[in-house]
Amino acid sequence: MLEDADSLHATFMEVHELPLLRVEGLKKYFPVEKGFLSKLLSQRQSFVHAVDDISFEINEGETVSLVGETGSGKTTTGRLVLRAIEPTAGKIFFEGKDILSMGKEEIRGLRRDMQIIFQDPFASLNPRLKVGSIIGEPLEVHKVCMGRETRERVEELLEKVGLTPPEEYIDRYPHEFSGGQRQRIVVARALTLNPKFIVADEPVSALDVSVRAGVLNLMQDLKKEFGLTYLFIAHDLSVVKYMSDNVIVLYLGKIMESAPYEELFANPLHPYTQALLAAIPVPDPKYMKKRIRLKGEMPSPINPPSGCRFSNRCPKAKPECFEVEPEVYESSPGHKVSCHLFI
Amino acid sequence: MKLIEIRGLKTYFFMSTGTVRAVDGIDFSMDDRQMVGIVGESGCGKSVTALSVMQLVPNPPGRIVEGEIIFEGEDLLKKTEEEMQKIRGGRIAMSFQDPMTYLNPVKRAGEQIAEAIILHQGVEKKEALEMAVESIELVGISSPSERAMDYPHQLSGGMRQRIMIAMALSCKPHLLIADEPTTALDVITQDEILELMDNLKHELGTSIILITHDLAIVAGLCNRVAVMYAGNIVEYADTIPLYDEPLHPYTKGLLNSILRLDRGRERLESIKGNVPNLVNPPPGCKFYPRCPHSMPLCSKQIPPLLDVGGRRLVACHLYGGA
Repeated sequence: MLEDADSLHATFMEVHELPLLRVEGLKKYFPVEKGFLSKLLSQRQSFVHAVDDISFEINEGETVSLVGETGSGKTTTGRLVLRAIEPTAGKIFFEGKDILSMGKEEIRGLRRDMQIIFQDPFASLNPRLKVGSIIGEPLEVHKVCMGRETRERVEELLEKVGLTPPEEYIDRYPHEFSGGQRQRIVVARALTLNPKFIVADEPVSALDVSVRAGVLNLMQDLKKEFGLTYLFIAHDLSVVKYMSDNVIVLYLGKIMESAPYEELFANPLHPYTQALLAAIPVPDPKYMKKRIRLKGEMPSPINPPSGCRFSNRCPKAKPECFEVEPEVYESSPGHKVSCHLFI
Repeated sequence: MKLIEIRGLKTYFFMSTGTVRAVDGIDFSMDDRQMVGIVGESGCGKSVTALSVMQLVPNPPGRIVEGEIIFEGEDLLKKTEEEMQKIRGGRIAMSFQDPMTYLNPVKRAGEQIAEAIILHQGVEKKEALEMAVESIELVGISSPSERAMDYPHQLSGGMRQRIMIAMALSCKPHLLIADEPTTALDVITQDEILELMDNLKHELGTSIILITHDLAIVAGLCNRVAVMYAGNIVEYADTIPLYDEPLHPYTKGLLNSILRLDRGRERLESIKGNVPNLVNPPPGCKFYPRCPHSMPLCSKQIPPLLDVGGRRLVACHLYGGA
């Protein structure tokens, strides 16, 4: 009986496709620049522990969100996954291939499959280029097409992101567009090479609330149309709820909790997740808010607290939280939490 | 008497490409000890309205073209620059969105606050520094005397915003204008700053104008909310009726586009089109090209801001009563 179950599991694993992206034990420590005097006086080099041993998977066609405050390591993770920066330790597999052992040529090919959408559409578009060149540039860099063909592709992309009629927009400069329209241009540029995987780093947090809805709807539509997979980075759980299949909550470079979105929002377990949820403003004046007060401020990632990273701010901290790092506890399938309250 | 009453305010920017009508005839008033939200998208004129009250509109190219700003019975637009300097940071104070731009990077936090106190209250430096520490404590910063010795770059984003609010409060203003106090902050820090605003209203009785683009933020805080669009106020009402039954189609659109944790994942509605160009705004109601309820009249006649009863004002031909 038991053997049957095991062999069944094995065949299931074979049939089951590999995740599109798999990250194992990823770490990134940035060395802290020191002044001349402190270099003379001390030998020890200190590090910012931006990402500290995180593992996760993203299946094809899924959206996985990384949520956390400034300094939680979510943007660094996004950049590591794209190999825009080199990790200190860990492994990253894209379609089963180890991207950290790839050479320059292979990485160049990989760039066509992996793209990024940045947070600030005022900083991520070259002000001296017309929209046509901004969106068309990747095609010419990767020698996909040239000249008129490029222009046709750009027009098609502009239409896809809702900037219609495209002839009206293609020869304009970024400063002629509003924030929401610029972010649509950034999305179009990310789509130019038909990528499989897109890292969206806070794509709507620089936008007005009124245009956020439009950009998020667009990203959902494009995901369906092109079968995209997103790593969605955000600090606002209300945006995450709208976008994701799975949610990973980060704090000071470590995963606090991860779960499918329905489960996470229905049953948040980690005190940090609960605090994040409680902090979101509700647009209803009659709603009685229950505030969760966190102690102090986020500690420096140069000297992260021992034990649980969240211990010094946690309203439910016990003595062991300050000494022992909590293990991962799986409360239900796929719902993992790192907290001593559950062990 | 109203604490502040703005009548027919027009603030234009005279640019080489044309005249930008950033604020185009605003009527607004608020009572003492109230907290009012001014909500709208970027470019709707909410910050320019605040700068007009402070008379800090960059000139050139900007200029207040006409209107009256009556504060505690006096028209601020008739004051000399010298008189305004006494009012600014004294009876009316303002905090800004991006504290890193407004705080002096080479001065300690406490010193910067003390500077304002010396200027407005004429006290000695030592006493002013003590008062600065008190106001740092007031905004909920722990170990205030140590933080007073920090430079802005040593503080976190939320802490800098608190320091700026402390500076604004240091001379006990009657009116605090907070321009997007939480926009650059994380959700948890945002929640803490909003709680601070709430405490200031209840404990100090400070009247506050909270400027934001997010209707969710003002819901739990403000007594009244004014919604601005393209240089005009389109709706001004008590908070609860505004959220229960928004009247202006723009207010409805704004409310529908908010992502809500208390709702499911149904597709979001967004307002179609873009904010109009304020050099050549559409004739009639400026919202009509984007409005799902527009009528022929809307493109011809500007709807006035009318009292529709129940302390509600709406500028829309649907409620014109004509």
